[in-house]
Amino acid sequence: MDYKTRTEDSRTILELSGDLDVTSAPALQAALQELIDQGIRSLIVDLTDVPFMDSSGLGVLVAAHRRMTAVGGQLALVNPTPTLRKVFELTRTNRLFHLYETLEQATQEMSAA
Amino acid sequence: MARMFSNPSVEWPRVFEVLARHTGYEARLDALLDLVAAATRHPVVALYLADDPEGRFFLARLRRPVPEERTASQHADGGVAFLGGSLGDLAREEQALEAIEATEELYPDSVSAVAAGLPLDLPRTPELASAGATSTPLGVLYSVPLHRADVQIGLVQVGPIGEKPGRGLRKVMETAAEPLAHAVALAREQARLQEQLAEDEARSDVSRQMLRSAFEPDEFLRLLLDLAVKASGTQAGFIGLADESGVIHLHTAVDLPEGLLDHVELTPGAGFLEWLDREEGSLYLADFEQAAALGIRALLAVPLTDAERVLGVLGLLNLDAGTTPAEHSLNLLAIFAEQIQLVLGNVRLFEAFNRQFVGTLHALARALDARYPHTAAHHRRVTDWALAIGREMALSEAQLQALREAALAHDVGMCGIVEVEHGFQADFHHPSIGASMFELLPQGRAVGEIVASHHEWYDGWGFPQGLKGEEIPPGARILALAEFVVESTTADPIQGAMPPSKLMAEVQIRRGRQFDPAVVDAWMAIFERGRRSAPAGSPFQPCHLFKGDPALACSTCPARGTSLPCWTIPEVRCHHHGDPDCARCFVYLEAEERAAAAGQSVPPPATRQSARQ
Repeated sequence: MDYKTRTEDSRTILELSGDLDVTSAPALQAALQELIDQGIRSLIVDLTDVPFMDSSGLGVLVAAHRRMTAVGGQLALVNPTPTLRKVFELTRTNRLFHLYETLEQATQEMSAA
Repeated sequence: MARMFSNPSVEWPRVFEVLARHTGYEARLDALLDLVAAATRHPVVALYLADDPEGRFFLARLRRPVPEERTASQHADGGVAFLGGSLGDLAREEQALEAIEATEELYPDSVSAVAAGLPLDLPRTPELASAGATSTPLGVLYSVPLHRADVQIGLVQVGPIGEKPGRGLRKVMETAAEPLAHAVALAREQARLQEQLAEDEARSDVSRQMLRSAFEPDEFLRLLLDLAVKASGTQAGFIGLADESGVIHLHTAVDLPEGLLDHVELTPGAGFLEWLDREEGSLYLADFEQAAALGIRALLAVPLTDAERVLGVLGLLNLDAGTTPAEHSLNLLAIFAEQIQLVLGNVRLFEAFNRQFVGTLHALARALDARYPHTAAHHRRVTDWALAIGREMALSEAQLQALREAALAHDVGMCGIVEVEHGFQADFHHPSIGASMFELLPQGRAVGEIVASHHEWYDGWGFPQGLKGEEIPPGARILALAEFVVESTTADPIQGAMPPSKLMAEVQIRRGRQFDPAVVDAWMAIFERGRRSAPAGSPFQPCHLFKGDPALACSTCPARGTSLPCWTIPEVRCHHHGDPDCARCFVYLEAEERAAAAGQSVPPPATRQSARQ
């Protein structure tokens, strides 16, 4: 899995590409932790180019969500593929994440919050 | 096949003869149209029927000649083709042309019928409610309505004719209309019932499959897991099931390397898997380092829950860069996960039902015991001896469980017995009656077999079947001796309990005849061990245990919990369970014999308080 970050309207967008599984989970976890440690409090994870995520990927996102919430920040997930949506449904984690169709939608909702 | 009747007519007997000769809805209609064609000497017969009293008429069947060079439908013979089957269904489609196009390959004749212009459906009009000529691309046809109970159910069209129908034709069709209408209606109704029956059977088959899944859950779970792995395109899978305390254990695996999960704690909350929200049952993999160490590349953990509890976990994994499941695969996976949940739910429901049902049988047996004081706690006492023998013989836990269930209700079949003056009528049948109650439960067969055979003799001289030796289930061989011991050591109104020396002698006499030698040896070992370890002058076993602890008697008896021998206590409550005289009671007789063998004596029985308290 690869990732890159960019900033837009004071929000950090983490763009992921590749499968999110056991092998890539540690690297993503480290990246997310680093962003939180840097003081990022508004983070959007773009899942457009993530064809598949397993339960370990979920675990990383869960941990990041909890840590972000603990420091008063926000974490949103954008544009999950249909396969990813199905993974969220199968594992019943879909209600607990903010899943947005587009970056704009995520940005608007996070601003409103 | 076109039939030429020597005296063609479309009258009641002939019409119903046709129905009787043919099976299958379409074959019957074909034969009826054939009959009409033969009777009227007109080759084209069209049958229109309606689905409801006010709906349109749909072309249900068409009999017409075909050109020689054409290949006719499967019913063609002698230049006649029958069309139908799906014609009625086609005509029900809103877009008839689309339906026809869709079935063009399957039903080319229907297309030609339409191409010939014969309408697939007709409106319910006043003209069609009475007989008359009607023009069609197949020629002018004589149309006759078919009525049943003053409702027009359809019409039959015969031809081709000239401009008007001849008198002969009119006369034949006047006679034919009523029997034809009834025959067609009967054929339709029977076809509908057969369809309904087939649906019910299919539904019942599904229900049986689902119910069977409760009886053979492991097989179903493995099948469903296999399908889930294939559907998701992953490399391996497992199902972990929760026990009563919620701990999840590996239950079923497909293509999983041996030992892979031996040291993995699958219970969410233990570190490997975690609940994101326990109420929701949402699950994720927390310890991906451990997963990586095991060589797992990807793991999808799907929670299995029902409304009340966590049932387990379905895990699908890849061990290397395998296929990434696509959305449609995960849709299938969701279905299989749901099916697995249903199977597990069924198992739990069925287990609960099973426990309730068997519990009811045990309660019924206890109620039987309460009929007479001397039969109090009979089933409990027999069960205690049977389980002791079973453990001595190292029966498995499953065997002991079946033995316990059988012993607690082994005489429940006596419910079906009528009491007569000096005994019971049809005492012979009570084992079979009792067994039949257990065999209502598909998993009750093993228990039922023990109940059914508990009066069989080892040498084949028992009842009801005269089974012999190993033919008798082991549990039944144990139960037979246990019941003999209880009955022999019970004092009843007619005779006192058998003293232990006589009991052992009687059991030995019956060794190899009535009783299995191995069972006898096991019982002897238990009994003698118990006697050897009993304190001198005291019962070899606390009397309330020996008596099966009948409710409301032993629980308030002063002999309970005291070190005094029970027979020395005047207020002892044994008369409540059929032991009015301690001198006839096995507990006293055994202690007395044991003391005598040691050159000692025991205090005599105290004068009992006579009145029931």
